[in-house]
Amino acid sequence: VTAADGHVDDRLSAYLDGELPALEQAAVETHLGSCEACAGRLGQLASVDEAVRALALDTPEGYFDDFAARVRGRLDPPRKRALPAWTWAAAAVLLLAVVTPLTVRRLQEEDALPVPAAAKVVAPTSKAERNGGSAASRPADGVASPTEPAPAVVPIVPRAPEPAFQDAAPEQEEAASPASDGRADAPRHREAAAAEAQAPAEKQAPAEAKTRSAASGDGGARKPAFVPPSAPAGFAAPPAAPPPAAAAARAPARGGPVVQNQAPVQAQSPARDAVQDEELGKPSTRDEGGVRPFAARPSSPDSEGVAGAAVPAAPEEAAAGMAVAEGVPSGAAPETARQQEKDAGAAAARGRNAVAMHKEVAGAEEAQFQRLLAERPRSLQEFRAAREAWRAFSVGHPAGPRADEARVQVIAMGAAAWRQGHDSDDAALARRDAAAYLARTDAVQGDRVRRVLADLDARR
Amino acid sequence: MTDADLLAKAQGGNLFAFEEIVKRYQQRVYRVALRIVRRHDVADDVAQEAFIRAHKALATFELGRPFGPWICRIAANLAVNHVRSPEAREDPLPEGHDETPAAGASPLGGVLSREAQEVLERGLAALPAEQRAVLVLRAVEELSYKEIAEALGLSIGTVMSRLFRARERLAENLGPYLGDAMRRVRRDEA
Repeated sequence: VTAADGHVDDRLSAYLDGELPALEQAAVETHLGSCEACAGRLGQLASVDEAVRALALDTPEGYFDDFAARVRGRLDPPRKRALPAWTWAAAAVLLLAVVTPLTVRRLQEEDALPVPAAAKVVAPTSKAERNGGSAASRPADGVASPTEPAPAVVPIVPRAPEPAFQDAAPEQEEAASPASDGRADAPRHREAAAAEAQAPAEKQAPAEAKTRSAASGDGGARKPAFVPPSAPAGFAAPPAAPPPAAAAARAPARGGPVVQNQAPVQAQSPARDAVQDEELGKPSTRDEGGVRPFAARPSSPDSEGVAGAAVPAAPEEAAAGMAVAEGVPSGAAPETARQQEKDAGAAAARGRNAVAMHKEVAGAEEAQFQRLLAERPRSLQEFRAAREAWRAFSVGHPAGPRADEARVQVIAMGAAAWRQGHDSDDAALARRDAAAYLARTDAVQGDRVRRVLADLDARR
Repeated sequence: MTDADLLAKAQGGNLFAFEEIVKRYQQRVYRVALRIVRRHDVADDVAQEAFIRAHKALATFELGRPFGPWICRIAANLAVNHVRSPEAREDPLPEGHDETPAAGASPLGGVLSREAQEVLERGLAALPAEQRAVLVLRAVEELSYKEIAEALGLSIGTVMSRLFRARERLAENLGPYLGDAMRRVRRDEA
């Protein structure tokens, strides 16, 4: 372990640091116990370390005061990280912008439908109503007429482009069918069960088709074609039918209004498309129950009017032995209202999140701005640092509310740096910054910048 | 708030959190830089650059580890690279001293004569940059040989030998003064 001369000088440094292997460490320690020269040398080495540590830093006064701010000013703005926040906010806003018009449009459409229905309930006078062209006439009839159309089956097809409604459609059928009438229940239900598998043309309201075909001598020949061989014979307890409560609960999510609209139109002109049908069709009381949920306008007078028309229908239908159907219109309203509230709450939450994110980002920007504004540079170095910090801010928030002021601050700090050190580079940079600012179309402090430039020239 | 808390926020893009980290370590980083490059303006650049590099590499930093050694290694590496650069060679170290003994910072520092301090300064300035960097990282920042080796891209054996040579040279320069100083320290302690 020891050197040729018997000492361990070459290992004292590592020994001092405890970096020798254990065996060597122990050997050196043993040697030090008996060698005064090596022990003295070890003391000197340790003293060197202590002397070096004892050297203090001779830095300009206040140097560390703004060091961190200068570093921050040179850091890349966290664009990558900030983007997601903005992205989420923008996405939320975009979502609202897309969903809201759609919802409003649907509400308007659906809202417009119940009015005639309600009017019919009170005083069904139109020919169409008397002919059973609208379900709204059912309350007046007391018991659903065998010729009453079953619009619930139809809506599925035209609503296909809108997934939410599409999904709801089959269930709407199930829920709406019972609400039709006792005699037409079984066939309608079978149609409803088969509706999803049927081609659009085949899905036309069977009951209505039956009604109209009867009037036209068609004899409802198309109807059997919709009935699956395995379809239950009775409606009271169809194996595939959901419980009344479930049906009622789902009813709100269905595209009721579309059904109503299409049934009559379809009977008159099957070739018409869904849009035309909607425009021309008339709502039924049953459908209103399904429409209201989507309408999501509990406070709307029209909606209330519709509800008023729909609710009375339930007892009458129940009296006709349609207990299951009864729950659809009357139970659907509260459920749909709850669903609407839920949806509205979710939308509001999304909006709040977007606003909160926006506020957070804006708050950070404002805080950074205020901090920069609060800085009071005194030396040339500090003015330069401030200039670059402002530059970093203006680059980091180019479209922010403080961007213009930040750009002007870059120029002002640059001019101040020149006044402080009279370095022509500072003046040149300030002029370049000023020219760039004045070239902007969104510069709002041109006069102020021109004054700074004039001052620069005057002092040159 | 702990370093880990601040660094976690900084990793999430919070510049103010990173600014707080800078405030906590700015003197230490600057000290490492200054003791290697020996000039305030260069040390200032090196220290700022060290933090900027650290910020860029923050995503790779493990929050459970201490930040100090990491940032000091970055600063030392930058400082040594600067000293090695042609630019630094064309711009020799100034005659003036950038460091002065800290009164009361340590018993030895307090009793080192002005002359001894100047000898130490000259001795440090005369050391090759790599030896100076190794000495600073070990004696001042108390990094392990392994950490120094990683910071400067050296083998542990090289770190050991450079540290040995640096201490030997300074000990030779300071020998007479250290003896006096050590005796005064012992007397004061007694």
